[in-house]
Order: sequence, then structure tokens, then C-alpha cells
Amino acid sequence: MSDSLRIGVREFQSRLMVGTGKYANDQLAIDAIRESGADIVTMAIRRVNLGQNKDESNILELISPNEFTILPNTAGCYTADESVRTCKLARELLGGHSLVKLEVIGDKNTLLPDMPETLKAAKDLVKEGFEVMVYCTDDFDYAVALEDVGCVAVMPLAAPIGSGRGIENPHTIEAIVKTIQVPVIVDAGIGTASDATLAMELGCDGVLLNTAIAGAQNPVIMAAAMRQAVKAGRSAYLAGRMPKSDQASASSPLEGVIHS
Amino acid sequence: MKNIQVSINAESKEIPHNLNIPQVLDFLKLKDELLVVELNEQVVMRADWATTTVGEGDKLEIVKAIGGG
Repeated sequence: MSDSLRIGVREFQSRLMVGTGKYANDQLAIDAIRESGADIVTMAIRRVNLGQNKDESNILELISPNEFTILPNTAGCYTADESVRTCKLARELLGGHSLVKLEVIGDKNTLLPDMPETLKAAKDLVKEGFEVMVYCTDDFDYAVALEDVGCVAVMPLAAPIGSGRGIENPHTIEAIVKTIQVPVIVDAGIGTASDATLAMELGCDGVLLNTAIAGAQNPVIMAAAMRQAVKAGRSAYLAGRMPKSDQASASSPLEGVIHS
Repeated sequence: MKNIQVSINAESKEIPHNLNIPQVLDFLKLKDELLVVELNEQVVMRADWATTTVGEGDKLEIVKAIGGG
């Protein structure tokens, strides 16, 4: 049965999206990313180093737009204007590609999003013709507002970026999932496979993570675990879990038991 | 021809007068593939690189993709 993920006009087979940062080396990055089965792969946009290694590799040579859908992010931006500029640079770099991950950070220590500025940037980017996948807090009202301004996916955090603490507010994530129509993708804070499964069991349409794989002792094995975890969680959500009960209920029939 | 003073990635640099974008990248010994250039906060489309010259006081940003989440 086909269960593809539709984001805007695009369709993807994998519901796991992965970042490309924090890997010990390039080979480990590409091995883990391929193992994850991800279709969408995030990257950051940064100034080139002037006067340094002229032959340093470029990540787009390693992780090619021919193999993956590249999702440039606005990580490190603190204002709407900076993030719009970054997206315009990314669009030109990727030959007119308009799918972007918007993130506007409010505080350099918590890395939590600045939501008023994020909403402003989202409006500006949609007006400029970008397809915006937006990183946000797990705030219900903002999630609704971001859908209303035309974002193609809303991506509430599970927990702060790189914290690996898992889903801190499952009830708010679930409320967002039940209310908005565009895909909801948990982005940031996933620590291990069960966190990804829980996100999918809550009804999220996908999971975006980076450090959970790159920071694992063995990133390639963790990438496989995440691929399986997202699939398992999605299947469990589609299957519909059994109701929880305060009472025990025997699985084996009680009739015909040999009693002394 | 005298050199001009410009800002490249927020660093003050002296470069030759009247260079276009590919010549600036060449002057900086940067490979021009997989880079994108902003001149005075406006993206310069690759098709316009050859006809865009850099003048005194201009602000250039030269960026690329790197690993990120």
C-alpha cells in the first residue's frame, strides 16, 4: 500500500528527514544518510572561508541534489530579514529550488525559535514564492497561524535542538496534528528510536532529526533504527492502537482450564 | 589601475579595479561552482555574473552549503 508523504506539490516515500551536520567525517555522513532512507536532507548556508583551504570539499558534491531533495535551512538567523536573505541565496545556489526550512532563533543558548519573527518571516517567504517548512515551538496557536499564512509543513520541536530529550509535550503535538491540515513534522529534540516512533504514533506526518543519528556511537546503525522506528510508528498510527484500560483482560480463554 | 576597497564576507579586502564576479572569485582563488554571491544584499544570478562589476565600497557575500540540521 502506498503511503507517501505529500508536502505542497511534492511527494516523498520516506517520512524521515535528516540533517547533515555534526558528522565526524564526510564518509560517515553519506553512509548514515543513505542508511536512513531519507528523501529530504537539510543543509545550512554559510560564508565561504576566504584564504583558507582552496580545495576543501563542498557538501553538494557529496550529497547531491540528484540523489536527495535538499532542504536548505536558515539556521543561525535571528531576524526575518536575515532568513529571507538566506533563503534567496539558497534558491540561487540550488538552481531555483524553492523548498526551504525556516528557522528563526530567539536565543543563542536555548536555540528556541522566536515565534513572532518566525511568523513574519514565513509571511515574507510565502509572498516571495517559497515553499516554507517551518520550525516552531510546540505552541498550538502559532502552529495554526503558520498554516494560515501558507506554510507547506509545520515542524514543532520535540525538545530543544540537539538536546535529545524526546517529545516533552506529546499532548500539544497531538493537538496540533488533529487541527491543522498541512503535514506536521516533529523537528529537533529526538534522541533515540522510540522518540521517533512516538512522534509517528501521535499522528505526525514525519520526523526531522540530525544529532540523534550523527551523535550516536554508531551513526549508521542508528540511521537504520530511525528508518525502522518511523515506519513502525506510522504503521501503528494507521493501524489504530487498542484502547487503554485500567483493568487487566486475559488473552487466553478462561474456560477449560485444568483445575485441581 | 588602482585597487579598490570592498567588504567580502564582512572582511575588508583590497581587490583590483573593475573585476566582474568570476574575476573576483578567481582573485580570491575560489572555485566558482556551488557558490552563490550577494552584492550589496541582492543575490547576483549566475547568468549576470559576467556583466556585474564590483566597485569601491561594495559589500559582497560569498556563500555555500554546509552540513546542518
